[in-house]
Amino acid sequence: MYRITVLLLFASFFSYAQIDYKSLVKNLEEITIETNLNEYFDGLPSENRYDDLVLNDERFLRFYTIIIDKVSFSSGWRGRTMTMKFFDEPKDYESIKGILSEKYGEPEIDQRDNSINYEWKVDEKELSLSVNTEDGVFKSFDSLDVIFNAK
Amino acid sequence: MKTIYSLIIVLIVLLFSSCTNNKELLLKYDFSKANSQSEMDSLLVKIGKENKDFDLDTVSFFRLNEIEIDGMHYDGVPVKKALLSDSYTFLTTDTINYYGKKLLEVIEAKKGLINSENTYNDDIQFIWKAEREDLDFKLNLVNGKHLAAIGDKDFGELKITFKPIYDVPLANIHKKIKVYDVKPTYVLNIRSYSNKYTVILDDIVIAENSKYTEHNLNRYITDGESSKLKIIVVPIDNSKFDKNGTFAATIYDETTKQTIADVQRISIAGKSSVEFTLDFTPKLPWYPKAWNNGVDLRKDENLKQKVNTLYKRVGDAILSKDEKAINDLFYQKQFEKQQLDQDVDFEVARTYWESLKQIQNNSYKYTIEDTYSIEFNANGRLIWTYPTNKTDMIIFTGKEFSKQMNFYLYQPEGSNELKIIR
Repeated sequence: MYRITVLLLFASFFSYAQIDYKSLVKNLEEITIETNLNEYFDGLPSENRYDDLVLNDERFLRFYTIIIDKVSFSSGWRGRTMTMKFFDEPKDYESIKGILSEKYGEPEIDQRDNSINYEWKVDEKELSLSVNTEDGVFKSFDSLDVIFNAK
Repeated sequence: MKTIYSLIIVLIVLLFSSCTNNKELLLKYDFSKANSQSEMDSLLVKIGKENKDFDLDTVSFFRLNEIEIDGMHYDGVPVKKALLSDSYTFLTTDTINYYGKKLLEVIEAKKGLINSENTYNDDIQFIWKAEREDLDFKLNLVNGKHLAAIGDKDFGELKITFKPIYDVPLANIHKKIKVYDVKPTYVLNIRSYSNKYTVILDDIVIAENSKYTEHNLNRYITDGESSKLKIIVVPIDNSKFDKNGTFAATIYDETTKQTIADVQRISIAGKSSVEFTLDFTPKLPWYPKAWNNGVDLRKDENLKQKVNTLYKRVGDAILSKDEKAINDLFYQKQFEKQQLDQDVDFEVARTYWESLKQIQNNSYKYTIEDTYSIEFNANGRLIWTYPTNKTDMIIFTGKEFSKQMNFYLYQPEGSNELKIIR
């Protein structure tokens, strides 16, 4: 008991007031067409640009543990689209490609002079990863779009 | 065993006490504790007294002191450099020990999470605006990449700006605004190419021969009774509509995007004028007093004199900086506008108040149009005046400055004076 008291005393002395950032981290792979986005992102800074919901604080956005720069959500006749922007880290490119291939199988690949597009299609959603390349080598991300098909 | 525990506790208390003394020494001047410019000035005086080596200017109006001494901090985060002027304080952290990140985190703990600003470089900026102070924080990336990968050398810059205290009710309207569960915003949208439109809602002309195709209707709704909207369309050159001329219009709720009433697209080719009506029943959570208790002004023989008197009061109040008179003239108009918008943003009324004060700062005279025609709206209870020679009813003039004004006016029952209402 004494030790706990003392530890708490020290913890309060050496730390400063701060938000519990870890508890606010959102794993975007959890989102489905049924997710209530306002409730899901409650407490996080967001904005509405036209009809899209946009969040751009990378401290709170993850997709299979990869840091997301920005995510936006739009709705259309096909359903809900989640568009993620990544930081241009080559290791993230390899990771996301590997994770999605493992989960959804081999993608359809559309390779052009300066870009590659990967598409995975499953029953409830379609995923489209676009990257820019230079001499066939990853240069930067374009985006990862997840289209949740309307039921 | 108990003795050993007691001994440990005593040692820890001694250690804690020594640390506390060190902490007090290290963290001596807390900029986060200042809640006004005068409290910040007092902190500057304290720093000056306790650090005689620094020749601090604590009295000049345009003072600017740059201070680099130990013991400065913002809520526990050490500050390397402070720049204090008579109107703002600018703090910079050191480029070690994640001080930039820590400064951001203490501000977020106090002010909450907000969206970052759009910047033209890699630096990250947040601006917290509040009634009493603005905090403008910038994280300068040195060895960090972004907010989720901040480096230990990234440093923070914080600009603290205290705002004046506003006592006048007109600048504090946001405190009186009620927010309701629903916020219908009725908007008329006209889709017709290159024409002029006169829009009349319940006998109130809200636009005459206007090129604007969107009109907010809420400001002219005074009750939940059935409303009639009339739209008169004429070609822009007053000739005939083009052979491809069509017209369509919708009243929709901007909040829910729901269509309330509409005119389906129709050909107007070859005609020289067309008129459409739309009926709808608005449902607002709150209705303004507006001109509901206004008297019929159509037979008022002294109306022109009353109009002149009203605009003279506006001119005199603004030029003489008579805050009470300015408040009395504009409060109801601004309150009803903000309440209809359910706008609780403290900056809206302050900006309006400052804009009225700006007129006084920039102008030395006003002129009132004395020839004008009067348009009677809402069964004579609401009037709009069309100046004959000038563009508006009152014009304030200064060196390279001009501000024009014109208002909807009404006369409350039991009063003999006109009031500004829209």
